[in-house]
Amino acid sequence: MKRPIRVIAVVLFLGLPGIVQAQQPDLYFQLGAVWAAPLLHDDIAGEEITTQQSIAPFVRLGAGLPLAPNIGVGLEATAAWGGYSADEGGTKTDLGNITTLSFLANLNGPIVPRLHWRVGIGMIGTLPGEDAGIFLQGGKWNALFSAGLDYYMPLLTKFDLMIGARADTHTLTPNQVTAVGFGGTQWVPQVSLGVGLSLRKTPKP
Amino acid sequence: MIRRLLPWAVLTFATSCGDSNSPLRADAYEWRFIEPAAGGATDTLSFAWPNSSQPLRIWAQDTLDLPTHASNGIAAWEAQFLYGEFRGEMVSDSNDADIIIVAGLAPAKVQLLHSMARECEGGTDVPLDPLTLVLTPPFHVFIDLRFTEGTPGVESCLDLTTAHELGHALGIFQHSPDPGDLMYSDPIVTAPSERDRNTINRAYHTPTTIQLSR
Repeated sequence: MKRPIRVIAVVLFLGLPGIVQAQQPDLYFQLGAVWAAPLLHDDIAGEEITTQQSIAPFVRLGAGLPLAPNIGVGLEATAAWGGYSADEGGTKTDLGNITTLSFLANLNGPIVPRLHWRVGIGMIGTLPGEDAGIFLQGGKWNALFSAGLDYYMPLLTKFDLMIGARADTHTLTPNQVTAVGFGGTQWVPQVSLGVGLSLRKTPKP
Repeated sequence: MIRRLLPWAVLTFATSCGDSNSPLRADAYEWRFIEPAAGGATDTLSFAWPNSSQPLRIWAQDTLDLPTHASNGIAAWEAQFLYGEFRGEMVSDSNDADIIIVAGLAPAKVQLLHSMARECEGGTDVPLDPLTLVLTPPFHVFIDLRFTEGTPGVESCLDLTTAHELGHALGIFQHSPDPGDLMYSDPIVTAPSERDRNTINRAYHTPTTIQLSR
């Protein structure tokens, strides 16, 4: 029993870089910002109201393994924090803060050695800072679809500088919104740009 | 691989700009004062607390459990809005309040909205100067028992009557003709209905004619 544990410990603490080199796994983190399209459009007595998130900073962690010679499979977790407000005829009402957490299963692969594509599906949860407004009955987990490009630049011996651009879209149906009579599904496209470090993917000189 | 996946990704993003359908909110009742005017005409007077006044400060006398009923009423009305049009908070000093809730019979006044539930009754004094159409807070809400405290039904009556009177203080200056609404003159339902929600939302998204003075 002790032997396998010792082996795992050795792999984790000493051998990981070796495995990394041999199997070219994906491991990265990014910091960046995400912009989302309006969360909700409404019309009350002829007055149009738009609920919009502010541009939100995010932190993203991802990992993956090769699936085939030019295809990898990965998991990605992203957390973003920002405010949101309602705009009615140019008058903005601050509605507090929201945190979004998203988890994405993705496929990825190189287009050219430094430029990789990534597409995925997953879930996004909207966690309101306080239960009020459209999130009076709390947030909800919704479907998330994502496509993006990652650009890698050699930076350190074992790490690349990674610039990631994503175009995502997710559904948004807070319980409070359906409770007051909204129908259909609100789709919220969003785009994000992140910069971070990745285990080296670019060829060594 | 990317040639196969990319078109799907682009198609998904391109078709994902659909909006949910906002409710029509057409089923509403008249909420404004309709006052007789010169020459047989009428004057329509409407009021909604402006965004700059939020959160409204509400004070309730510490009797008949009025602070609890007031908190319940605040929560009931806040739940009718999606965009923070009304937010209320209890304050400990009546001198700071926009709305004052006290126990007792409402005095006979001109600008008074009165409700008569089964076990209790209420009234709201609208502090409006009919000549200048200027409203100077605070609103005074009166809640009174028709039976002794502890009588079955009194607690829920106090709750719905306080919420009903808060509805008046928020700008619903008429009674609903439908007994299914909280703002019916002799209310029996315990929470704002869909019609109440539609009405208060229309009130807060329609230009007002009554000015607020501080």
